Amino acid sequence: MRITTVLIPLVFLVAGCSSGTPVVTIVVPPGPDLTVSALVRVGATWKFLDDGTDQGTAWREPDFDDTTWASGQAEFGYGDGDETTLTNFGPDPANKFVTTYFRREFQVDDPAQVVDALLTLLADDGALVYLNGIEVVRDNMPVGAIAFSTLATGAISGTTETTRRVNAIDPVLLRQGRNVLAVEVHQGDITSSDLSFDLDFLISTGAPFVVRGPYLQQVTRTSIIVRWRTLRPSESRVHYGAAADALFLNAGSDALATDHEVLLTDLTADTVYYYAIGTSTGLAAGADDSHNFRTAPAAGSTRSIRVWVIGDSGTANINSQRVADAYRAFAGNERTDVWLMLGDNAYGSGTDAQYQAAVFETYPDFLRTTAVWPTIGNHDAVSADSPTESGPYYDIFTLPRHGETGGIGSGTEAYYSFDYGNIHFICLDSQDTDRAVDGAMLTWLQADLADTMAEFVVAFWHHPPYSKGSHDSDDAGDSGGRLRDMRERALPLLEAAGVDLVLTGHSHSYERTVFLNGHYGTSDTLTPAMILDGGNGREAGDGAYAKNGAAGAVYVVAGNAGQTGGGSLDHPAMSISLNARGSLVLDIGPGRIDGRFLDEGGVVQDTFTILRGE
Amino acid sequence: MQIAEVTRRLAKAPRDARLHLRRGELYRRHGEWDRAIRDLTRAHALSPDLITVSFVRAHTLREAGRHREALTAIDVYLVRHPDHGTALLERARDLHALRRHAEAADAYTRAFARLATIRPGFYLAQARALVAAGRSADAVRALDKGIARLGSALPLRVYALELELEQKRYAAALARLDRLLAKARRKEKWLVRRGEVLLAAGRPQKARADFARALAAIDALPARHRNAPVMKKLRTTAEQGLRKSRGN
Ligand SMILES: [Fe+2]
Repeated sequence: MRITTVLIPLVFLVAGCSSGTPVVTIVVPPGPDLTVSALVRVGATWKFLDDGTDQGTAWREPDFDDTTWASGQAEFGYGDGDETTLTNFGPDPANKFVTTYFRREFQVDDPAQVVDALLTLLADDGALVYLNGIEVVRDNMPVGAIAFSTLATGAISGTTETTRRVNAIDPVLLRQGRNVLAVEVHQGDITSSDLSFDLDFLISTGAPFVVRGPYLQQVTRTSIIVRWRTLRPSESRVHYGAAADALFLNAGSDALATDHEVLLTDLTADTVYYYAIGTSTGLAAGADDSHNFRTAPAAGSTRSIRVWVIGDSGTANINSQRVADAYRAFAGNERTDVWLMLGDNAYGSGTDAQYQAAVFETYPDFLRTTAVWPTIGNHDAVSADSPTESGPYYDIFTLPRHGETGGIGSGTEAYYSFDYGNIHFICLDSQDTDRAVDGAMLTWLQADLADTMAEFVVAFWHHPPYSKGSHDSDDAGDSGGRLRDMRERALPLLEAAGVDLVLTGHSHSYERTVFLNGHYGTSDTLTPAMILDGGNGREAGDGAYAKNGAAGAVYVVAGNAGQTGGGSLDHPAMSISLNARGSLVLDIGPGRIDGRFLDEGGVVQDTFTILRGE
Repeated sequence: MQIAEVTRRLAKAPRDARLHLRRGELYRRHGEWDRAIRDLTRAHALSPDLITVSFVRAHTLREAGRHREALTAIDVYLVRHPDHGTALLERARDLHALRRHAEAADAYTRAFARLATIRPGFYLAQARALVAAGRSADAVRALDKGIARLGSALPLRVYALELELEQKRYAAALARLDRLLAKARRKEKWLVRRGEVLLAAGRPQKARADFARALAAIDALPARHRNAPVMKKLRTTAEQGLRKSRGN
């Protein structure tokens, strides 16, 4: 990427302007001279020593003589079957060599140009990496001096074995000309069955490496938030414009940060923007066709809105991947306008690392093109501190507190609302917020409902009011009474204001009701009067649900974007109950809501339609 | 690390307070209060200096509804960390649940001073504690502090309005309603409320105008909103208000 940057002299700044140094950036279309280059690639050739001798400390130094060491290609190791070069663990499998040594040299032409260096390490069980004799990475190893016999902190197993761990390296340590990486890999246990080592080492002469995102939040008609993470602190700047090679506008902050957050304002409604992220002088990602977003439609627009809904998606495995792939194939080139996450977005406890795997590495393409609107699940809540709105869930997502996205400001990120097209979306917190009718959340809900003019109202939260899946809404003790509370307290308020659709997760199933009104008790209290239309809601079947007055809503449980959970699946309010993985696709156009359950194989297993009859 | 793994390790090291803390925390996350509290109590006995235990134990006891014990535990923690915002908040919530309202209100104030982010529900809780302690005027002041700090804080504005009305401070109530009206996209709900306040304040003519405006606003709504039960109820209230404001 070639970028010409013109700095406007500060003297032209109007006093009081706090947006930082104004920069006009002209981005030249991507060319062959990319700013990222690999100093050492995965699968590189290394010198190594696996004879069980203690090499002390001299071997780390750049000018150590390693000519007698063997030479081989990564991945190194034994025991997993995926090694290119097998290393020797000695004569006794019950008393394996603890330490194996590796060295590799590489050239750097102009270290002064390097702004960031990133070393991605695969080491089983632990390793120390030295760059030109200086320790730069200590991975799964104890603190203090490390000897030949020092065991790794713990034997790693399962998915951790194949996880490549990313480390920022200070570019100051690079030298002009010859450089040397030296690595010692340690076993966690002398009886360990396996050993692995490989790494890659990248440098950037543009902007610091992005290790998370970019991802989008709070899209409105005129604004959007772009977020990303770097390991090295840098300024935050988003370059944006009408085409990938015409990013003539920019916004950001000069303050150094690793978690970057930039609000773009004064955008035009219903317009596609392309963007890139990085600094004033370099790009880290974007400026291509895959980094773009569309602003929300203007008032009065009659365009149909595509909504993608995933619940309990946080398994970070092949199952959530398949569900995402099925939607990718289904959507094709069609843009997703609104993306909802129904909670339990990152198992098992919503840590930052679990979010990295379950969200950022599972949906990178969606994250950079569609703003995501989450709600908190019980698993997310384990690591979140809800009373203070801190911890990974609250840190990762930037949610509207003050009505920035339409609706009434709730004063908290725990529950919020937003307008998109002619739809008003309401997110409640069924997990960690007081669910009393006179509590802050439901007081806000009533005011928010009484303040919208939208054609449709869609509400979502984690705990289902009706379910016979892996959770039972008839069991008052299920999940601390949260299912019952939401049914008894939130539903009457929502229905009194004419809610159309309610989306929840928590049960790992797909359960979709008939057209309901006024059912607030356990399933044995369901009466015919509460069923406004007991058909399947399909235009080609029993007919669409006709919403002639304000009464009638469909309730969908879709906590199945990562796993299935069984259950009796026989709630009498349901039109259909499936023990299958998948996601919910909504198309909300003037006068109608069309819902589809898309399973992980790409098969549409349910459809329903609500028609506005006025 | 999951419960089974910690239990396995505890079998080897039954006097390891950190393992008991770990397992107690895991039980707490699963909502198994009794088991969690048993482990945390054991951890506290084994290592009274491991101060984190007191915090987790207090939190768990509160979640389990055992507020008296929770208060004792959090006080132990606060001796060592007197300015810990979340711990101060725990203490306020325990006092509130124990109906020690005046102390709870003060404890909320101390917690708020130490917390970077305060959720509207806690300001609401503090105001309710003050009302329960017979200090309604202080409750209004506390709510105003919350409104000033949070900006968007509709539940706080609504509760402050109700308290002003209970105290028959009509001018203040009307001023609050004017602010709510100015912010609202749909005015009818607040117009009806203002009409009622004006009626109570003995200003039927102004009240009549508000009820009439509210009815016109309801009539102008699209059918989907006009026909919603909340709006039908609001219409009835507005019509009754209109009749009362005419003196019949
Ligand atoms: Fe859940």
